[in-house]
Amino acid sequence: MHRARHEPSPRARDAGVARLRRATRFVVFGATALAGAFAGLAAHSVPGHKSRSVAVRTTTRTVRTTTQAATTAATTSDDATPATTATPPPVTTTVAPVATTGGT
Amino acid sequence: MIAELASVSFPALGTTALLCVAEAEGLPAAHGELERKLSALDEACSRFRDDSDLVRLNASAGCGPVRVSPLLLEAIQVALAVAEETGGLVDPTVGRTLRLAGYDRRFATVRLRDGSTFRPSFAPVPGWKQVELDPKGRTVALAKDVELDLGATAKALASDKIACSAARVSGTGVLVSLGGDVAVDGPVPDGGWPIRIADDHAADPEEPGPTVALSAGGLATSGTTVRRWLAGQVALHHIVDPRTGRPAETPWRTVTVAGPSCLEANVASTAAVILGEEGPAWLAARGLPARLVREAGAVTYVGGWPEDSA
Repeated sequence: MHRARHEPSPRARDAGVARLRRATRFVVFGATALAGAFAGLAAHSVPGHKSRSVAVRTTTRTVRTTTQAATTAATTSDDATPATTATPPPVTTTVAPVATTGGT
Repeated sequence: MIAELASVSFPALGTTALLCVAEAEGLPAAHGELERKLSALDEACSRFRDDSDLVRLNASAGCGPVRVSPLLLEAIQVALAVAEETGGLVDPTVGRTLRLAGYDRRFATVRLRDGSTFRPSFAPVPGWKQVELDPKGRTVALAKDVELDLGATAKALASDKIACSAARVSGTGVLVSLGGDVAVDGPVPDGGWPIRIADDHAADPEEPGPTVALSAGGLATSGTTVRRWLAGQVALHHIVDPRTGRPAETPWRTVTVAGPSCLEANVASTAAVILGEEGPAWLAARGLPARLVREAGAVTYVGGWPEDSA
């Protein structure tokens, strides 16, 4: 029974992702104010932990102000996939990295 | 404008937190924001702190609604939305089977355990519909035997939120990485934020790996090689396929995804690991650029992700 619930049709998954995007954006941005207030409360009620912090970069760089990622209408792989918004791919760089993404 | 990048990193949430700011003078304010929010997140969402809100909730499974903190409520709301929208591929009710499989304490401790004598067991994943949430009353009710694990969403959600608020309080561009779940916000250094891709987010800086520049949103990697433990004669990993209740059988060693937010990137990378060979098409259909690495090292690129330079 569980198996059936976890194997939705591609159409259901795709429609779901469109809703996910709306939902997550709403939560991420809409909840910022609430989270800020809560974090402040937590800071007063919970002992903080000391960080073992190390400043590792002092590189001089140019900073530009941008809006969030530009979006374009995406092509879709089949008729069942709803129109979605493509994320611009990152670009290769030779600049020394400031962070690493990888398995946790 | 010309600015000086500055960064700070420290252990948090059983992994590493990294903050980088585009202007050094913004570091203290952004750092303070990061520390405060991580402390609150750990207290609310940790599966391994006896005093956390989540441990208290999991212990109440089958006993009716429990009032929870606003932060845990939000984290569960997001996790349930993700589960629904992915058709249950990324589901927070994997907690019980993860625990029975041996991921029952902080991973640093799991790693030290003598796994050769450990006997894992597995349980069906009840599914997100076994969680009842009342936002108005701020309560959550778990059906019997339901245990939540928010590992697939909470860190990424926190990266997004902290990057946003840290950029605001510091008045500069910010990159936040929680165990390799990266979110950026605010003004961007010229050329973007350079981020290296590796099997392990804690890899030595000298180890080889492609570097890409990110200008907005988030970048996340899910993988099966790092959070891995020995259970008898087999090695298990932490990405559970809710359809089987067991660690996902997948050809991918790592999946890295760029998304409009870190949360969306991390959800997609986790789903792609679980989907296996279907992962690239699933990502492409959603317009999500990705880099998938097979066990033997062959790389598949999706959505315009730049090929690794020779």
